[in-house]
Amino acid sequence: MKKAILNAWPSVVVGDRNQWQSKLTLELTGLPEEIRFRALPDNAGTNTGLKPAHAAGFAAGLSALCKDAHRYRFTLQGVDLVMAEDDIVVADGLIKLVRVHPGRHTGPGNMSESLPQIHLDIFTEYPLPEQGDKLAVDIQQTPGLPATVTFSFSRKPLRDLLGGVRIGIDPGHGGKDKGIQGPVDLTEKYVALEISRELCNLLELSGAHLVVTRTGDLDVTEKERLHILRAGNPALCVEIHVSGSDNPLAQVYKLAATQDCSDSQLLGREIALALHERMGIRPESAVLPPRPGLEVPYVRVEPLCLTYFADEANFRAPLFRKRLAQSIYNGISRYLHKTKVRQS
Amino acid sequence: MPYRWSEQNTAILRIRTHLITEKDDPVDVIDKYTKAIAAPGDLVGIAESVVAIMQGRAIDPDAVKPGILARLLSRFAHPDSSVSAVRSMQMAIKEVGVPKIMAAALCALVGKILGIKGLFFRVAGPEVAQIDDSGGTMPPFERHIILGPKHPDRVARQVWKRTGLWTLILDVNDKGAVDILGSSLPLKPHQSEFIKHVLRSNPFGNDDQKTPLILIKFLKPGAGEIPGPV
Repeated sequence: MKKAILNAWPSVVVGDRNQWQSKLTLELTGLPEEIRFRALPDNAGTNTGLKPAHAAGFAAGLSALCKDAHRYRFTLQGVDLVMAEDDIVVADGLIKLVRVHPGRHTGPGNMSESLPQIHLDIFTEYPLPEQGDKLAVDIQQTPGLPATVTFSFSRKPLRDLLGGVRIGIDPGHGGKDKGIQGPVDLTEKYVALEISRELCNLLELSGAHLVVTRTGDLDVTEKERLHILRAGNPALCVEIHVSGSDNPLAQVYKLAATQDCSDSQLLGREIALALHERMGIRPESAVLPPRPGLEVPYVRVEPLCLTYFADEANFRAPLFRKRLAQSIYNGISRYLHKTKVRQS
Repeated sequence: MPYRWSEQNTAILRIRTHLITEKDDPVDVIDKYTKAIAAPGDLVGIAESVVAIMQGRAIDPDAVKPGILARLLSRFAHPDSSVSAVRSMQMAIKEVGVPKIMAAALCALVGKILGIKGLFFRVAGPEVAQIDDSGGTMPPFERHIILGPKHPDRVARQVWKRTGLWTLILDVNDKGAVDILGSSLPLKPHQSEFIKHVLRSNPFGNDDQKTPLILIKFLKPGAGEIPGPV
């Protein structure tokens, strides 16, 4: 049986000593002879060689996803591919995409010999951390059938970016105020709270300080929400709702940003882009009136159309909720990165 | 040669495929991804939803017009049930017919009174039980209604004729439930138990992991040999 890669999948784990890592795990029929690494030039522009999107509804615009990405290549010598050559959309806030594709290597001396080799091209949001002059990546190889090779990358860049930042999260509705009702049984107040819980989890892991208007099924008036947010002094605010329509087949998504506030517009654009990349949805833009006493970048996100039966059904899957929350998180972290770069 | 299927003898290899659509053929797909690594006697498993997709049984919900009966019955389904969505209930009616669905609904009502669960699907039949509504299927089919595969035994035999591999069409979920919908050969009870046991961790995964194909390799020589010709 030839040595080949069967399977590759990304994950995010919190390990010992609060180590927060993005991992890429490969399953193979045998371990590679050698693993080589190099950073590639940061020109992930039009000629990435990426395939066009499979469908409008998912991972649309792979080239846009990897625009401005940092690129790293791991080459596994002596293995082939059984799995399909693939672009694996990761979008976990650190790693955007992993491209698995074959290369060819000419053996030493004899030009006619060639060993199989497989490239893993990793596209990242931010430069990966280094230890001295080496990339800080941990590679674990486990023999067996299947054998595994796991690449672990520290998510420190996200902690550096978000650590200490105060972020306001406002899940809409609550208590007697159910909001929009889905065709089966889900309510807007429940969906908004679940998305905010997942989002808060990610932000807390990143070291952000959270100002949350409700953490349970509670009646919270508009006045109380404003008071909580003002008292918390956040650097930015995200309000979470869902959208709906009288047409049961309509798929409507919205993202509103505070009028005449360029930072709000930027935050809104980054979240909208992240939702499009990962969820394949294009939220309609809208404007929000300024909130009195809260002069910070402020957006209202409606990433789910609850009256559309497929969206309601999809939301029951925990992984779908995590993906929604991850998209909003990605938008927030990119916004903070851009404003940090602008200030420096 | 007697079968020696045991968990200690096996390795489960999960294979990531390309995005499979109705343009693909189950025999071609399995042949393509297993020919370099499969040995005589290995078992190959493929997720039933992917077989259904290849058979054109992924239904765009926009194309489904729910009738009065579907609207009525879906209200009584458990919210987590695949037929709680009105369009999925409509497809269930289309698959098995109104009389059978009405009988199933009546039995479900009796069952609810007597405290017996699952009567609706038991009476409606496997075609209805296998309907997956949106949620859990990977894009671009995440909004589609996926019906059960047609003639799964026949599909499994076709794969066997081309590849020589005993093929299983499987429905596995994250709760450890394994249903064998189709098999190249009739399975003995201990073989069914073996398969359900080794696959209880759901090696297919969910979400967009794209591993609808698994190879169960027998590690000891002769452990998986099948007596008789293909």
